[in-house]
Amino acid sequence: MELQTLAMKDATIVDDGTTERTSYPYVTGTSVIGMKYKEGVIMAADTGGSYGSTLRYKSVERIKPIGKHSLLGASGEISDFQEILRYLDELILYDNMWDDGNSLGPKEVHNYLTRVMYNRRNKFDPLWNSLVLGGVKNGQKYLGMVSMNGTHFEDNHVATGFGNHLARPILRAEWHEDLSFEEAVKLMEKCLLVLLYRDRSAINKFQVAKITEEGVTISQPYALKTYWGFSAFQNPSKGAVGSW
Amino acid sequence: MSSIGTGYDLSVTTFSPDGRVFQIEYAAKAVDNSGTVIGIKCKDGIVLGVEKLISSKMMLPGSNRRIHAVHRHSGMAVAGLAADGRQIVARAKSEAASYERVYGEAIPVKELADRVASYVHLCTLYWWLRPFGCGIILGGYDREGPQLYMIEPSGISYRYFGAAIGKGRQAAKTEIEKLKLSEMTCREGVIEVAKIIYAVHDEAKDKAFELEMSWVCDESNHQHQKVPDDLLEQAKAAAKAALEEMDAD
Repeated sequence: MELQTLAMKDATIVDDGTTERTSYPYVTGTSVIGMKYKEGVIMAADTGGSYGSTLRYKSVERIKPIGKHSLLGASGEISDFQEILRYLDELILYDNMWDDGNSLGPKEVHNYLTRVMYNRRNKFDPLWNSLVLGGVKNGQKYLGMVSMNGTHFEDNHVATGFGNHLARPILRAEWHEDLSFEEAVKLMEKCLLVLLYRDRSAINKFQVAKITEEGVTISQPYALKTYWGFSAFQNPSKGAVGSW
Repeated sequence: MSSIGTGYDLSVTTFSPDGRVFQIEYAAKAVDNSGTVIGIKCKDGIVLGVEKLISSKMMLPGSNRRIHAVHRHSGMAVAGLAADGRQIVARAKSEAASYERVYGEAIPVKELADRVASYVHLCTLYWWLRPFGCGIILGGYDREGPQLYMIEPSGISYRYFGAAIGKGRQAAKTEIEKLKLSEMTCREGVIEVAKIIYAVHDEAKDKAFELEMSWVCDESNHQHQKVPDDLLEQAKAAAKAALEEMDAD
């Protein structure tokens, strides 16, 4: 009921009586973090799909390989992510059918996604996602982001949603060129841990994906160790004044 | 069987008194005058081969592809008017993509053949359209295994285990019938197709030709692709050697 009235509020009604299509996210994924390292690009996301404040789906894969050279991670509406994967599947299919030894690299896929997102935004019918696109082609590493309004950029490390506020400051301080894979995973897990503690839609089940010239590897979901034994958490009602 | 259909051959919507539609038969002649195209169904896949007649020495080898992928699992080789063929391939790709969008799985080869045949047939029903001047050999690998179809300009489509169209089709069909296809793998099939194309190529009438081959098989992971370069070279060498043996007799 509440979701429905909110959806009505988001509908745009144009003066000539027509309704533009609304877009309101229902099942959403939270942050995705990506960074370049020595051999390629590493990306991580948890496997949670929230339905408002309920953590409804706990095994949603939010990072997928695209063609031979790219990885796509998405936060936001999961059904829109699935639609984007369908578009990309057709794009890669047509690319493969040329059978001419060439294939679309991460830069091209990033540009395609930017066009799709921006054009949808102009029609007031956005795909409600923030996308992270990373890949390696011919030794060149590439990492970029596209948001639901079509804003896009490239950087050495990117994040979506809460990741921008909690993970990127850590990355700005501790990321450097030519991280080894182990160092990159350690840095990634540091960021994921902060998100786990502080983002209410994050769950303790992560997938870490890497892409190098050789190919893509997406890890099985795993959990991080958390610590809740801080002294301030003991006796939570110690300082609270009761009413009776 | 060739007769002049004076008066009854001006439009594809006219039957002759003996029940023939001459325009379609003339379209088939365009196919018969093109380079040979062969397809065979081996026990683990399909092999397609084309005798690409080179009209000019200045053409870049590897250009002017005659075999096109239609989806991940299937491809078609075209004989006859190349521009007509491009149109049919484009339509087939579009049918395959739309089937996948609706049903979520790759189009079964039988369904694809049906749709392409319907499209080709469509263009024989209206006086303001002309029939396609090309024959198609379509090969694919789906849940039912490898399948080979041939589609003629009339819109007829049959399933084959070996098919040939173009100039050297009679000789090619005889050669294909000699092969034990059910026991052959695609690796062996590639060599055999190369041998047949080299054998039926008429050195006197047409000078140079380029051999183009593709396959869909277990080895290619059920994907349609050009035959790998090393195997192609092996096949060409074997074909040339077989030719020399025949000439030596």
